[in-house]
Amino acid sequence: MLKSATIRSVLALFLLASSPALAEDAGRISYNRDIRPILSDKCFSCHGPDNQHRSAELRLDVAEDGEDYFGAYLAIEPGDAEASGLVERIYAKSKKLVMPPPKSHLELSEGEKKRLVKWIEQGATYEPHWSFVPPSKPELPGVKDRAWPHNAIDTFVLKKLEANRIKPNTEASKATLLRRLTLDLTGLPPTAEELGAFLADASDDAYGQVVERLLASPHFGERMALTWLDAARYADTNGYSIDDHRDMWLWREWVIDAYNQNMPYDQFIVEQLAGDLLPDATDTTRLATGFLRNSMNTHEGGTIAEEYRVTYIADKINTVSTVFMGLTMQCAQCHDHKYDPLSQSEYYQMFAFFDTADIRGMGANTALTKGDANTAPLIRASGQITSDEQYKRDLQQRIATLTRYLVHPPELVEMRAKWEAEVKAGAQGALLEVLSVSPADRSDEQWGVINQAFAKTTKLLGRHQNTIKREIAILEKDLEAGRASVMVMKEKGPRQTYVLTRGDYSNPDKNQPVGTGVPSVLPPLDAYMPEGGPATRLSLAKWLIDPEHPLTARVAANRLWQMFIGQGLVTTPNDFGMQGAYPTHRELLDYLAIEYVDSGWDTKQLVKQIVMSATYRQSSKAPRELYQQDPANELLARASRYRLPAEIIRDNALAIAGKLDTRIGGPSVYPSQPHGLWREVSHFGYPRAFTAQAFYPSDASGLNRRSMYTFWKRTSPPPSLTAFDAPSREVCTVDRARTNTPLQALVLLNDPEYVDAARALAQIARKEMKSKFEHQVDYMFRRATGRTTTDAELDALMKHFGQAQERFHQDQDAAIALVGENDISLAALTSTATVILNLDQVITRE
Amino acid sequence: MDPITEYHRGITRRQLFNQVRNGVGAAALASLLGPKAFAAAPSQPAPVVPAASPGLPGLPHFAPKAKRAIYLFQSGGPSHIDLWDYKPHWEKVHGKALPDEVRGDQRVTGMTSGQKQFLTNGPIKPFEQHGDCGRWVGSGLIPHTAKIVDDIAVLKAVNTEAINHDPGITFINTGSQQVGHASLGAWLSYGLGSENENLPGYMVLISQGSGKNPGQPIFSRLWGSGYLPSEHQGVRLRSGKNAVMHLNNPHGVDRELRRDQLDALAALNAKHAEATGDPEIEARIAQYEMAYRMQTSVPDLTDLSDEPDSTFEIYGEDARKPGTYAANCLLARRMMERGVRFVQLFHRGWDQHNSLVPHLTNQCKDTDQASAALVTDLKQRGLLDDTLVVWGGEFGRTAYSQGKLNAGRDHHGRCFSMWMAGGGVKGGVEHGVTDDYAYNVVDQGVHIRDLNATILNRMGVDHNRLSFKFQGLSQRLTGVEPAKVVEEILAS
Repeated sequence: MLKSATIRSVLALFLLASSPALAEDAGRISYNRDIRPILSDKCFSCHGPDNQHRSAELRLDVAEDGEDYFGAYLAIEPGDAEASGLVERIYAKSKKLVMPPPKSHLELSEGEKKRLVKWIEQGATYEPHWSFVPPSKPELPGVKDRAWPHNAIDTFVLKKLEANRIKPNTEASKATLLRRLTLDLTGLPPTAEELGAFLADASDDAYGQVVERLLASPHFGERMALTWLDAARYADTNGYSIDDHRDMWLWREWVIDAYNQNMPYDQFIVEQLAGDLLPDATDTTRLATGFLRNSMNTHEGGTIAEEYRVTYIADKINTVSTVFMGLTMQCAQCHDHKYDPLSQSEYYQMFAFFDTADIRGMGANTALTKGDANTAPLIRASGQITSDEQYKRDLQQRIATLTRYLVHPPELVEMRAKWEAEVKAGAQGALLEVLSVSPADRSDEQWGVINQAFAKTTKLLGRHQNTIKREIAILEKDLEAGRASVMVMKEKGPRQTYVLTRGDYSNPDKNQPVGTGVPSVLPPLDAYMPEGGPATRLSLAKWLIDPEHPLTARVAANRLWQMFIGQGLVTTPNDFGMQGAYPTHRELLDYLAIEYVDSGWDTKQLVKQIVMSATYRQSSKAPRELYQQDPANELLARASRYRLPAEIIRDNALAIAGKLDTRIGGPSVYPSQPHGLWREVSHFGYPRAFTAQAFYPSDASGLNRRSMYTFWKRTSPPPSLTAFDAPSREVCTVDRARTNTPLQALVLLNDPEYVDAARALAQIARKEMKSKFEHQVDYMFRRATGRTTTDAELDALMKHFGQAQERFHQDQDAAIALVGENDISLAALTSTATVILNLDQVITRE
Repeated sequence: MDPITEYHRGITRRQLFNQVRNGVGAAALASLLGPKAFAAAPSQPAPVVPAASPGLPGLPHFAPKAKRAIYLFQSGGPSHIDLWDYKPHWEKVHGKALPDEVRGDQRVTGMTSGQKQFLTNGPIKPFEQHGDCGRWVGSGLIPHTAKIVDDIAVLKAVNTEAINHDPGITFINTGSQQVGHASLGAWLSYGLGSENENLPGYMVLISQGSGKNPGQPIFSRLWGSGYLPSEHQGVRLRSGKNAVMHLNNPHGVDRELRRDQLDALAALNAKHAEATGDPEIEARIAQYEMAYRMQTSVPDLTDLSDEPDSTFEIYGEDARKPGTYAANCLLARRMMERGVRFVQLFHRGWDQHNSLVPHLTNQCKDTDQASAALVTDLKQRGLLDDTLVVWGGEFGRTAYSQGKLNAGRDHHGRCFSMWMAGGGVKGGVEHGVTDDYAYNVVDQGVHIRDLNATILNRMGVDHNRLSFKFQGLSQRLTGVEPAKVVEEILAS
């Protein structure tokens, strides 16, 4: 049965490989699906919407002639390929005639040429670009297999599978499903108790109950926020040049809270874009506008402020158009968009929404600031959504940690001990006196004497102390204020916006003044203009959430799909324009978008629909051939199997090891990283010290927090996270890569955090399973994978345990080095735990 | 992931899988994935298993003159006035006002835009002619580099629009002043892949000069992958025992135990690959094996004990001190010998706004000997012919003084000097003409787009054809504006 299904699927895929898409209606060419991608990629850059760079006055993106250009029908005779100039030119032998011209380095494949011909033969019908037309609710397709679908989503998926003669995969095992769900919805693995309860629950709605439980978990908000932090380019430093610290964590708190309260997505947009402009604005809604303030900023000496004010606005346009509309508007900053109907003046109409805000090109500077590390406008608003008491405790704790580092800078402790051993014999006077006190008993004054002598051998000590003092000074100011600061949006007043010639800040075209406005290809803004005044950021936000807006709901639904299915229905989540991918399941995308709007933008409801579907619940195990033929899983004939996001890999390991601190929210923390990474690239050592120039690890309270709270320095982001494709957060990111590299192996094998996790896992196993080693090993495996070992797996692990035991028996010092005591079986168990924590399936969502 | 890379990987994974399935069991997988299996160059047909990064099909676009490259990046903006751009009349005009028509209405940074006068500031040390080519060099500052002028091409009319460090250094290294683009090294790694089975294809080394300490900050985006898959970002090679992050086993785990761990891991992963059907798992097994090999290949690379004393005579005694520019130059040569595709040094401290004389002198002292030694050494080893060496920073410095005469110089992007050597670049030539004040380009301007196009060209890459689709555009290192290869300096 499995075998014949395999052969069928291979055949079907083979046939499809020669067609443009995994087509449902063979024979009929669709402009949107089959033709536009070709024209856009190969023709539009000279024969497209860009008014400034058009060849032969010919546009191929529109059929009919316009005022100052010819439409495509100049070169196309609908129904008659032979009579069409376009066909003649694409098949021309002469290098001078052939299109696209050789110097463009673009080439049409034979298949593409044939498709164009076929389309012309069929009448060369143009269609508006699919994503610019509002979605209409599709009818549920009829399917043969009535038993498989759990909900509407499945009928769309199944329809396509049936068209391709492929059966959906079987449902994943309960253990796999629970682990998948828990990781997807909370970013954490299930506990043994949760697994036990789920396996024991034979009722029909056991799965649904788990979904409800997880959606209600406060960790759901964290999981959702994690992805939003990438989109919103959240970070804890300014990004440019000195890259000192900023305080935006309160905004992060707001996001987690919004998801946990299931804030409707329309409100989520409005508050982040214009929470300051709402008639009933509060500090909480103002705080939400931190979204726009996550732009990088600079205070590099010599900066021309206006240049950077423009850059910050450009970043906001880029972010807003990418995350809410899937549009690549930044292309139109310097000239009309090459592919999409977005003109340069429309870009500056968007620009005008932000031009009136108080945006300062030269940012605050932590070496000079008298009050706040943040750049105005800002508010101190922690009490709104978080406890000020907790905030003050966090500050005090960090100050205490740093005060200790003033005497013992972590990077220098080892170096100083070495130095002490060298100089001890020759020491005299006061130094001799303090060196003869054992290190554990020395007072800070005595350490001061030692440091004074030590400072003569390295500049680093003084530099660290200077830097740490700056860090403390700023924290003390925060403590004095008692509430955390966050950067927000605020209007400054009217300002005439001009088109900037070639995007150059110093070159406004005074003949082209523009006001606020939106691209004409999208619905009009009129309904949202305030009476008597120009449209504002609030108008823009309300326009985005208009149910008729063709992009907002689709882009959001696509991103949710991507989070829980592994890849978007539109595989270019940052581009829904002409150059973007056509949806693999267009009707499904529209269905989800409309469901989202109709439910009142109920995010949890939409997530629930996705994870309740049979599509979601399929097994990811599939014949190798299916993996090879459909590597991106566009058909959804299986569940996608993919490596976990960076943060979740670490959180998962800490949770498996019983070390994870699940406290939610608060200022960012500093889990360990190799010494020196920051200061080797930063302005560390500058006499007027800045913050965030050298890395000072947290005390124990900050070492095992969830990774989304890790302090994010943009010019040197957390190395063990970037190894797993976490972005720098300099610009907005809506699709992380998933690479597979040797550096990842080195992190999981050797990073002290993971070595500690392995040891902790071994210790728990030892405690929980006092009986046999086999049971301990199986227990570790279960904690890590959510299932018990097969015989073969247990054999392989026990074989390693035996080898390790033998080695540690021969070299007991090694055991002591690894686990801190002469405990051979614990060391062997730790080595086995390392193997388990490195298993592909442990870092993979299956 | 772009379809080409995906396709490439699909093939190689399939081959790997077939071997596993054809009875080469998991136990044998480790040896199968050993170094020899990776030795096939990506351009050769049907490698047994993938190299770490195979590069794109169809690349190089044409026969490369340079198989590998070293970029000696001088962060902060070295003074072309004091090092390369000789003008006969400096002595006469030194201390006189820089003519307004020379300065024009171009923008200057906020640091000197308020200055009342702009006094011409000639070189702080005299120039002399060197080599058979008779090149004028600020040899009072860089006497060693002066000796290799017959081997290098000096570009004197390089230019950039950026006037401050962050945008400037981001521009020259990633092709755009806006953040988010891929670095030169990442492009090379993406396009050409890696030739070495035991080391990453793009390595980065950082040092700090004594000219200005701390120098201007640098950023991981300068060697980042931008929109390219993140495996192409530069890997930092640091001084100290963990030269690559987390390279060393934890205390208590020796190499034999690590081998045992990896064998167990490979066995379990291979079983799981069979159970799930997912070829990605085999790719992961291969990456663990490469990590294991790196654990010996990196220490072998950084252990200089096999270098004879003569090495340190030419590079200077500084080369014995880990983390110095000189040591990094030596490591760069060792990486070239091992077939690493691209090595980039970032040396900080070339930002002489003040203390021009002592700071620039120190900065040159830190770098001059080793830079020259690297070229000489590569030449002696027969490596220079197919190794490209590039020297330069994000911009130059003003011909007028910032503050009092000889006190300092501000940033200057209108024209500045860089040099290139080896890898199909002519020696003993100079290119580009600047005006009498080394302030504006008169002829043969080389925009940094052109510079990058030229570097790619020497590596066998057509800058117009190496692209990556992102946000609807075919992104290129050289961007959308036309860029031209500097043909005049190319050796046939």
